[in-house]
Amino acid sequence: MDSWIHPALLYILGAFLIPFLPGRFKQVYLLALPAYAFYQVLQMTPGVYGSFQYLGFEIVLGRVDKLSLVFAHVFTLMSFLGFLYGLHVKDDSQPMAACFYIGGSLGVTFAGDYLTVFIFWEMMAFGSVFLVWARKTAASTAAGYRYLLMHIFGGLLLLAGIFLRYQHTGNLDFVLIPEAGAGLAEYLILAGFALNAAVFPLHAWLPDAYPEATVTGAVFMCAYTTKTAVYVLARAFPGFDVLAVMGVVMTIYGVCYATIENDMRRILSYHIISQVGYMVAGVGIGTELALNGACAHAYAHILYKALLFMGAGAVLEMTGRSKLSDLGGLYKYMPLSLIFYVVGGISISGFPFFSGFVSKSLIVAGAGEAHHPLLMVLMLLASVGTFLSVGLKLPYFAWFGKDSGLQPKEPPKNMLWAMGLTSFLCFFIGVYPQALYELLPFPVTYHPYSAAHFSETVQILLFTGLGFFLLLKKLTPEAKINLDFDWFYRKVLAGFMWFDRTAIQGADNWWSNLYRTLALKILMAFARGFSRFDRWGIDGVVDNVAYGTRGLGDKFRAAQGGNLQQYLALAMLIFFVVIGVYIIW
Amino acid sequence: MIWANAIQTLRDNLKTIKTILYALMALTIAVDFLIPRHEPHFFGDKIPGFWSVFGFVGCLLLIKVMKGLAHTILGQREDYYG
Repeated sequence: MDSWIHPALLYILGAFLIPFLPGRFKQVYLLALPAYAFYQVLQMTPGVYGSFQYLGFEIVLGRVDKLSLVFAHVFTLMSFLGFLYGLHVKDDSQPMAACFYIGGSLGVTFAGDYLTVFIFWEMMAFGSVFLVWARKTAASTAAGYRYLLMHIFGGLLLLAGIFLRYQHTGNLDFVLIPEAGAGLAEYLILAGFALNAAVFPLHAWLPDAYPEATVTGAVFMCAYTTKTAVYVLARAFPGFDVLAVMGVVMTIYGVCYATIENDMRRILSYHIISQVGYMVAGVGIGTELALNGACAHAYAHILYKALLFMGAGAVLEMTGRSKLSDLGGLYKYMPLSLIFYVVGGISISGFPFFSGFVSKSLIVAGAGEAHHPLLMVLMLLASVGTFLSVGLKLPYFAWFGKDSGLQPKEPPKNMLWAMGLTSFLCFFIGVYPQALYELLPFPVTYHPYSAAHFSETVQILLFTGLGFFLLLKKLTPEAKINLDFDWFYRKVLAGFMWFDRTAIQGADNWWSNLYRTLALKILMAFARGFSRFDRWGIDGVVDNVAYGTRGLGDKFRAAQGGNLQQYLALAMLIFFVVIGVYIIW
Repeated sequence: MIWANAIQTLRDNLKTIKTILYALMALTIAVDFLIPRHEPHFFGDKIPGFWSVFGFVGCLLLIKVMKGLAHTILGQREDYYG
């Protein structure tokens, strides 16, 4: 207990120092903080830390075992790369929001009870939404609100499930749930987790919000929300058949939309759904091999997906454009960004000697060994689509294709360094998978570099490439958007607003009229009677009080001038301070 | 500039690259006849060259089907949501 420092605490308390540090110190601090947290995670030994009784509940802040360690390992490592990538950003609110977001994610990772899970779960949602709002466009503000509403909805499902489960088990322990004993409570918790994992059909918030986030914000967002959800699913729901099926549906669904999308970061967002689908399927299959695969793939995915978002973000940062139909011919001006992006692209596609090859295959082999040939083949089909849109279509139309006439420079040095380092890690894991396999919760006997696996992968990739170049013309990006499940809530909400404007406001106006004409007359009659008494007796006393009240009212009015976002920020800040102080005590 | 030139050189030799890739495709299928197969989980695992056909047909289908859907029901103008 004494020697164990919760890494979430480092980020959450560390965030408050950021605005007070001058330029160069701030940059050093932003790199030292995650480096120290990473070191802390490396030093951890399995055990239970920071557990106490609160209101009769057993609260466990620090459950350290192999499963939580592998996620904490990559979360802290990723935070270093993310802060390095965003080091040039002047807006302090972004690293601060990222700190709360990462802190929430680590809090969930080490939580041993549902109450702790829930609190940090909400912290993630509120921390991350500021990374969307920080872009400060009308589109990002609206997308941020939709993102927040969806996550509040997911949080409520989770909370309802937690309450119901408490009712019939009498404890809040966050432990493995056997599929046979699962009832409404367990499935509500599952649905709450599934929303954050972007499981179809609860996925639409992801490709809606991520492309609207800031360049650096999206790099953070692509790493934490969905992978924390994979962690909690792996913790509580391994072997649930519904997850195996839905996971495979996600892998296909994501690549299908990515094939027709135009916005670079939206293509990558759909591929998060697809890649997280592999992990969800791995959890659902639930064997040691498949669960290892889910963790390994989460680890590898965080790195190469961040790399892809960094590459696409570099283009957006330097050109101000993210739609493929507005881009093209950048290879002469941003060759390094292209090379780093392509490393991410071939890692996600599972090229031999890159990280996807050694992580994705654990899940696919897991499906095969558990005798789910259909799931296995569909996952291989999804990897065809992955190479097609992330490995070929996106870089082709952004860096080659037609010449857009843009002549951007390479991005700032810190962004290039972050991309270079991440590229190296993707390659390192690919050629030395043991480094990754040693972190996994179960011992690994699988060998990715078998002749059959090698041959299968190379064939699929080469012939996907052939198909791409044959149908290149058909894939020319179009300046369009594609309908997805967010259509439902966006249209229903628009309908609600319309109803509000017409019907409810109409009724309100009618009522106001009635009130004005009838009630006011009666009131005025009363008032005349009172005023006579008032003028003589009470005025003297009241006047003085009134002046005092008005003065106070003015002060309140000044405090109320801000918008809803500022209130949320303030409320969050107070919340974190209270929680932080409580934890320290 | 070195990197831009390197990529330019690759682009200028597109014909050579294409030839190499075609040769590589033929080679992988040829090798696929020779490699040992331990415990196949799926009938395709036993057929040499199966995954080549799978990758090629999968890619074409994905593009055709999704582009078809995009041009009929899914695709909308960019100001669709106002």
